[in-house]
Amino acid sequence: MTITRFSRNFQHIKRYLILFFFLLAAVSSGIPQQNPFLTDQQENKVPVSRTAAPLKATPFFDTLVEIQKNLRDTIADIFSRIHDGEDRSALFVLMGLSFVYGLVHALGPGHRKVMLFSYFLSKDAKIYEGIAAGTLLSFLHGGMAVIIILIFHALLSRVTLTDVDSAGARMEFYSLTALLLFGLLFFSIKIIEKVRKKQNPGPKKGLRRTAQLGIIIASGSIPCPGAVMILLFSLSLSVLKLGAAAVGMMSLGMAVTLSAVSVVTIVSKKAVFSFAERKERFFTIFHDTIEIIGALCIIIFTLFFLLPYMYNPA
Amino acid sequence: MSNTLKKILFCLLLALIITVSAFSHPHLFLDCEIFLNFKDKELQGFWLEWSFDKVFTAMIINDYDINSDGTFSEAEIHDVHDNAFINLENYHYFTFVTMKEKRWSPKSVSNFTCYLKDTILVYRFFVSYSLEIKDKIENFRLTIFDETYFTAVAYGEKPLHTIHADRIKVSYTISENKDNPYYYDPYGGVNDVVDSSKPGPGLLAAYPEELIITLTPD
Repeated sequence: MTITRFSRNFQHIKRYLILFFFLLAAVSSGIPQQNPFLTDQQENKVPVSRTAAPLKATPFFDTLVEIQKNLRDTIADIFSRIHDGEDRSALFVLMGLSFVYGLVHALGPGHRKVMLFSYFLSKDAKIYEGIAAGTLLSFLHGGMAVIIILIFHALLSRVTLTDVDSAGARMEFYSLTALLLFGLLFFSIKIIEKVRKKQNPGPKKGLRRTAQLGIIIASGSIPCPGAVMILLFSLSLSVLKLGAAAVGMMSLGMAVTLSAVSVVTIVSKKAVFSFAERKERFFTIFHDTIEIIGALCIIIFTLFFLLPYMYNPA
Repeated sequence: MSNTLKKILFCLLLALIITVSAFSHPHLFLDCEIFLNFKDKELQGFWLEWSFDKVFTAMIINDYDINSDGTFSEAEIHDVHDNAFINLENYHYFTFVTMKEKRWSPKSVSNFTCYLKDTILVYRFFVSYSLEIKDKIENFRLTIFDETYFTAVAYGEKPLHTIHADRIKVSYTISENKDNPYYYDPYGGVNDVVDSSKPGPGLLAAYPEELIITLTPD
């Protein structure tokens, strides 16, 4: 009997260990990127950070890269054709391809997938919350690219890739700093909630919601480099409105990928912790621990992203 | 929801996280061609020609073809070099040469130029590398690889060419060398200089495709 119980417990612990292992593996990927070709002209030079790479390329990896290249080249061709007035019916194709490009593009490291994974690991959420978070983050990510280009377009006679890249790096730093603060707030609230669970209610709901929303907004508040390049391309052809529409569709595509990450995390977490509903103390402690680790991972993940800025101060 | 479905979803999550961890995120694409430059039985170096994707092409034209005449003047090429090329010195110009298991990268390059070839932007520059070929040399390896994965490098159908190779026969294959990883610091900044051939604390490994070249003197 004891052996059977131990065996059952071991199976449960194994699930947690697997989950934790993959969480750590995921956290180690997706460092922010900057264009290595560009020389920063500003005096307070922002360091160029590097990104974690795959341990080894696979045929599937090559295919994914090839798909992105072909999609972007085709999008560029269609922009040119519409600009030249050759094929106005290609507009629908452009929107469709932009959607697919966003979907595929968001599969790569970055785009805060790990943050979403950690975030939904740290809280019990409903599926619609996952979809809302993924969608909000995606449209912020694409929307920030549109805003930054519009601002530069209004201020400068000629918007250059170097200008936008430098501004993007600075925004990344401020976004990460805000994310760190909201992450610390969220983590503190989690700890207080777990400690006070049986005594009295934790921090006010409003404060918790502020922290949660702050994490999502701070995460998305950096321009997507892929969207920036599409917008600059459209600007070079004087079809910025069309570029903005394409980035909207691209954001929708990214929203599908990011929402999928959120929803699968929420559903999987529920599946893994479903046995905790039996209110067995041992598993409840594990449930709380994993939630706190999830919140902690948001902080760790943000610090990882901030590391290049700390190692290479301006 | 059935237990089986829950298990499937959980596995999907794990697969997704593995996928997310394993795949890179390029924003810029280039096709690379290499021209080995010989003099008699000596390799003097090689020209690199990088053809970029259409979007990056448009960016560079927009930023540096100031008079919009569709070509780059000397002054415009100078601007491209200073603003959208020279920063690659912090990235070994993406260029790695391996000879007798010793890896080398250029600290500087020369004769940079850029031009449009069928509306596609091409960077061309020369990497000096001296190698006397007295006997057959096997396993001379060339790799063009952006360790930041911002740039996806592809080799075309025929990426290797020769110049003045009258007295040298050149053959090559392309493959990943699984015994020879490229180490890099994922948190390194612009001043970061890592010996890519040696493992170290905090360094990650990558396995890019290499051109494995055989040089045979006549």
